[in-house]
Amino acid sequence: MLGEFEYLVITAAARCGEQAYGASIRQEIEGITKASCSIGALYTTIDRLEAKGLLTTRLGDPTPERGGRAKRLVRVTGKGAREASAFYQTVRRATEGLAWDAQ
Amino acid sequence: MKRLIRLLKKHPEKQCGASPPACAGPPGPASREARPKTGFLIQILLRALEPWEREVVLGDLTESGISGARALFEISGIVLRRQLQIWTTWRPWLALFGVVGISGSCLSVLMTGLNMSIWEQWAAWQRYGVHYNTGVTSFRDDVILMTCLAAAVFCITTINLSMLGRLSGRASWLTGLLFYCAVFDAVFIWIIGMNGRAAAGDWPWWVLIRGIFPISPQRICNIVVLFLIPAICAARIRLRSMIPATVALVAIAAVVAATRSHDLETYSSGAFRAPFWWMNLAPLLLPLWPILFARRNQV
Repeated sequence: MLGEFEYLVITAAARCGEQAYGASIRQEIEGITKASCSIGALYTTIDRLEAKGLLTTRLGDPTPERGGRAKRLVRVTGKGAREASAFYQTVRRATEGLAWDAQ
Repeated sequence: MKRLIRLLKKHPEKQCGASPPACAGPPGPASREARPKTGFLIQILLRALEPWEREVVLGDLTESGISGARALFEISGIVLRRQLQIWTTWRPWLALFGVVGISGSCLSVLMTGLNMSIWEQWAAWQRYGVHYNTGVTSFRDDVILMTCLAAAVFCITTINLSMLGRLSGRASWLTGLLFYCAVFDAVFIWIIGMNGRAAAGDWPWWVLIRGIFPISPQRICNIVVLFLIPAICAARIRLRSMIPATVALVAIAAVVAATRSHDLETYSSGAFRAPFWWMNLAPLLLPLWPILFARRNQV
C-alpha cells in the first residue's frame, strides 16, 4: 500500500496533469498540507514511485523562468491511479463513522 | 556472480541512486547562457548529483525563487538522500571492506616498509656515504627491490582506485578519503593506539597533526606519486592493460624480498629469522583481488 507522502505526490501530480513537474508538485503539496515540502523528499519519492511503476518521468524543454533549465515532467500511470484510489478507499473506510471534528 | 558483474557493466548508473528519466542528456548551449549565478558551496554540493538531476533541481529552485541559505539547505537534503541511497546497494560496501579494508591495510604495510627502506638508504648516504646494510645485501638488490616495490605499489594503488571508483560511483569521495586514510594513516594510528601514548599525553599535539596532515616533503611526495597520480591514471587507463606489468612487478619484488631476507638470515647466522615466503608475498598479493574482478568484468 502507498505511504501518506506517496499518496500526496500522486494526487498532486494527477491534479497538475500535463504540467506536473518538481516545482509544480511541490507547490501543490505545500498548498494542500500548509507545510513545507523538501525537494530531497519529493525527488526521492518520485524515484521510488517510478521504480514501482506508479509514475513515469521524462525531461521537458528548458524554459526561461527556470533559468533555461529543463523540467522533470511526471505522469501518473494507470497502476499509480489504481494504487492511489485503493489508498483513498482504505482511508475512507477507516474513518467511516468517526467524527474527528467533534473531538 | 556472473549476473551481478553483467549488471554492473550494463547499468553503471544504478550506482548513483537516481536513474535518469527519458531523454536525459547534457544541457544544450542555449540553456547554459541563461544560467543565474549560484553560490560556490551549492556548486560543490551539486557535483554529487547526476548532471541531468543537477539541472532539474536548479531549475526548480530558480522557478520557486529559492536562493541563498534555503537553496543550500534544500540541495544538501537531496544530496544527503542520494548519498544514503548509494549505500543501499552492495557495491560501495564491497569497496569499503574489500578495497579500503583489505587492500588499504596491505598497501599501508607496503608503503611503510618502502618509506623505511628509502629513509634508511637516504640517512646512510647522508651520514656515512655508503648504502644501508653494506656487506649484507648488494646495492643493486636494494635498488631493484625499492624500485619494483614502488612501481608495484603505484600499479596496485591505481588498480584499487579504479575499482573503488567503479564500485562506489558517486560515493567515491568518501571511499577515496577512507582509502587514503587506510593507506597513509593506518600504521600511524595503529602505533598510537597500541602504545596509548597519545591518550596519556606523552606525544605533543603537533606529532598527531603531522601524522594526519601532509606537511613533510616525503609525505607530500608519497601522496603525489603514490596516490594522486595513480588516481588520475585510474580515471584514464583501462584496468586490464595494467595487469601484466603489475603481476611482473609483484613477482620480482617478492623474489628480491625473499632473497634479501635469506641474505640477512645467513649474515646474522640465524639470529634474524627470515619470514615464510608467503608472509613476504601476502601483503603484495592481497590488494590484487580487484584483478580477478577486472578479468571477469573486461574493464
